[in-house]
Amino acid sequence: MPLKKKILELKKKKEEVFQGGGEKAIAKQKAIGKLTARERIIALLDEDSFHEYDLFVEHEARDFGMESKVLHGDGVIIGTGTIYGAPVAIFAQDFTVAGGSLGLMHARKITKIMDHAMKMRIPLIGINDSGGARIQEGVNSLAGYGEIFYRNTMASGVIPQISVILGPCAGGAVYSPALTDFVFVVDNISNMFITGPDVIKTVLGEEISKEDLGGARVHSEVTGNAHFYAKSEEECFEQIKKLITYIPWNNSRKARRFEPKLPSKTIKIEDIVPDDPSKPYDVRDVICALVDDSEFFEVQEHWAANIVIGFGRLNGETIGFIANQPLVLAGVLDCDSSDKAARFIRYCDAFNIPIVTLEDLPGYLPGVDQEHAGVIRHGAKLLYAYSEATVPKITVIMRKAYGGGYIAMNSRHLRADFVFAWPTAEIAVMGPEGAANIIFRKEIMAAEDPDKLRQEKVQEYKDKFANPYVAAAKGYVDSVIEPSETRKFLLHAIEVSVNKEVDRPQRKHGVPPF
Amino acid sequence: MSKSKDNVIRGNHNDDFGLTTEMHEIVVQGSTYKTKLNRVYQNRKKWSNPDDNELFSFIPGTVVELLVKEGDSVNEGDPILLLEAMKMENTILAPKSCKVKKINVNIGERIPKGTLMMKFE
Repeated sequence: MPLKKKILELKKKKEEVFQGGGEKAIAKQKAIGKLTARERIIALLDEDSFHEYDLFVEHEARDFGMESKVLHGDGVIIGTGTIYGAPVAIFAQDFTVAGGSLGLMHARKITKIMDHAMKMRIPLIGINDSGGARIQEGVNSLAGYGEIFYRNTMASGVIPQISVILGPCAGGAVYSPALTDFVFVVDNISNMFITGPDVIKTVLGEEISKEDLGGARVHSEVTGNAHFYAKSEEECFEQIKKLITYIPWNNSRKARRFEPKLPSKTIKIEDIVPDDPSKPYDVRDVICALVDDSEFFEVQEHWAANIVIGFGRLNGETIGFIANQPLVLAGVLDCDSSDKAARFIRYCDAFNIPIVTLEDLPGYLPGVDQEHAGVIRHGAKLLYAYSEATVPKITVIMRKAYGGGYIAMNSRHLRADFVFAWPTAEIAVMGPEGAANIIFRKEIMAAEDPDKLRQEKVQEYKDKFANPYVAAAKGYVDSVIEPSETRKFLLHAIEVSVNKEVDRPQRKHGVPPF
Repeated sequence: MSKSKDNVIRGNHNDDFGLTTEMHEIVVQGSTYKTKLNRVYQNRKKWSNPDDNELFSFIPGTVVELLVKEGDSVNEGDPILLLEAMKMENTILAPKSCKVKKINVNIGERIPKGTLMMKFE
């Protein structure tokens, strides 16, 4: 056969595989606002950068009539490409082929590209759109999931792992995304749950829709399983591309350095934070006033919004920001916000991203529900993560830094490299009202006008302790700075921290309170 | 993501994601703060002291058998009810020696978790 003919034959074979699950299945996929697996990859990666592998892989199921069925690519597409020039490895499950179900060869394709990503030390992106295990392949599909989970774990903290949920992701399948660094979801398209609505109805008699049980909103707002929420697949891809610009290719590199830019001049940092410590403001405005081009890329925006986490740049370098949010629940620490911040700190630490903490919190959220939900062990995660991190760690105390919250928010005592405080900072064992009530309890109770004396004592305490100078006198605060000087101090602190080195005791690993 | 008039990049979702639009007061260590509340906080369960004269289901399931009737006296540890849940039969034992005042469930009835099944006195 001459070469020309052989090339024609190859083209024909490829065309056939590109049909995926056929016209009907593709029409069904489109009808609910979903792109096909191949369209998704093309939309996400740089133009013409995608190179596909294992196109001609065939499934191995030999029971239940499966042997005569053709499943193109065995329901998953794998390959490599680039995003803004950064190399990535990618897989995308194809729901049009046998519902994207995971059989032995399907799993082998995924693990092959995972191994490749690890060997080449490049980010891995997984697009999930699958009905789950391929029942006809029995324990082989379970083995497939296990092989994926193991690789997710081994790759954790070595290469960035991104999961994109663009369809169902149910049962055991949910644990691969859960083991990865960032999970992206799209409204009305993503579903994640261990047991679906049908099982819940049969076993428990409770009726709930897929969206209400494990839709994009639920995972973005209530469970914290998702990190980025989008209204459409297109918006989701824009978010992924943006994230890729903020993170390094692997744990032995730094994130790409951008051209330094000044923050927007329209935001005046000294006008954002009210003097009265009981008044709220949006701490994201402070971050925007500090970072290059006033561009802040928030992570887990809707879950545990009482703490804000995300990426911004200082002098072109990626920085992880952690900030108490007085606008929501007064910015208290609780189970969810501790959990959220702790995981983000560990991410930044693993990938050489310096951490800036903006502090303004009244303490921990009081309540039986919090105590019983384990705020002790969840709160401990935050202490652990800050103490453990060896990347540059800088804290800016803006207003309240009371009690346990003061210690937890990257204090000097947990080995912050730099602690700056604004003149409005109140660093104290507790708020003036609480403190006065305890210290002067007897006097207040015995007074003729207890309320008047209480007010006087609160004021006395405020004058003495509600400032940054007591902590500064002990060296717990390095510099008391004007709010407008904050960016300058941060830039310098980052600059002089580039060669930071700390020794850690020899150990296999610590035992953090997960 | 979009740039607003202040050149600030934020999510472009205007809906509240369970956040209240107005400010509420929250008290932490004697100080009062004005702030928004999220849905998780608003939906939290208020604590109430358990009443040992009330017997609640600890798991959803089907009542398979009632081993006592109203007015019966029981001793602590006596089997009083069989609840089938997750394909397992659970024998519910009397939590204390007492009299059965009221039975709120019937044989064959499927009940959710937290159902008040019996009252004692």
